[in-house]
Amino acid sequence: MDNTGTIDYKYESNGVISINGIEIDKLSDIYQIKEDYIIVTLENHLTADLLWNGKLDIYTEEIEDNKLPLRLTDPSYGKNDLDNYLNSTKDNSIKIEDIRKITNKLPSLTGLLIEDRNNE
Amino acid sequence: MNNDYFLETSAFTKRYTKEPGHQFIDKIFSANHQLFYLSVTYCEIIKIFYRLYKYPQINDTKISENKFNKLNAALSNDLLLASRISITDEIVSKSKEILNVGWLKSSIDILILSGFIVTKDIYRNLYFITADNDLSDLAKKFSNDVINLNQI
Repeated sequence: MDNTGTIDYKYESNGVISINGIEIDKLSDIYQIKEDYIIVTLENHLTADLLWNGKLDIYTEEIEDNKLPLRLTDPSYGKNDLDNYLNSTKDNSIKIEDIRKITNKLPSLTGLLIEDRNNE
Repeated sequence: MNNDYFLETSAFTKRYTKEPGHQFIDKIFSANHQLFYLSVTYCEIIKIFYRLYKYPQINDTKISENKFNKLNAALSNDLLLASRISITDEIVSKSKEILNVGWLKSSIDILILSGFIVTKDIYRNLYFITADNDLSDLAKKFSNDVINLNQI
């Protein structure tokens, strides 16, 4: 997914803000606007996901008094990013038999894992 | 009825090498089973790949970027065939119950076993698949549905 591009934002007369022509409803504040990303406060993640899929790299923060943002407390935060990455890399996948030819001369991967765990 | 399988990292890694237990892993990937893994398993596996690619330890055989990319792609493909369980506060909290029963050297192992126990509360036909003997022994104190790939 191409996340590059210029962020074009403007304040609308009705009090909401549009980013690259996409109007953000229920936006309560803007904290930072940088060249390649923007940190905003949104009331729900659906809006943020929609924008992200609209090729904008959006990091959301929900800032409330005495409450950590979901980014720090929601175990599934970042799920879309990880799934998108897995989907983007799986296309180069080869047959598992061919993978085993690659690892044929390597030590046991399970052995390396157990060794690593024992050294924790 | 199809069984469900919770793939512990040491079982998952057998997917990529021809070593004892890989046939079983192939079998559950090829059949219509629901597979689960705890999210941290991704980190554990990719760490092994990075170790061999960028940070080889003494006696390790370094792999090329091309081979790393192929391993990475295979892992991505397999992970998308399974359901990723997030590390929730319930899973973290369950750690103390596990430690009350037995000891594991790795904190990640404790989280993985916690993840299995919580997932099995919901998916009753769930089997825990591992190739880590310590983890297997402790898991058997919580469930009979444990398969140790070193013992099949």
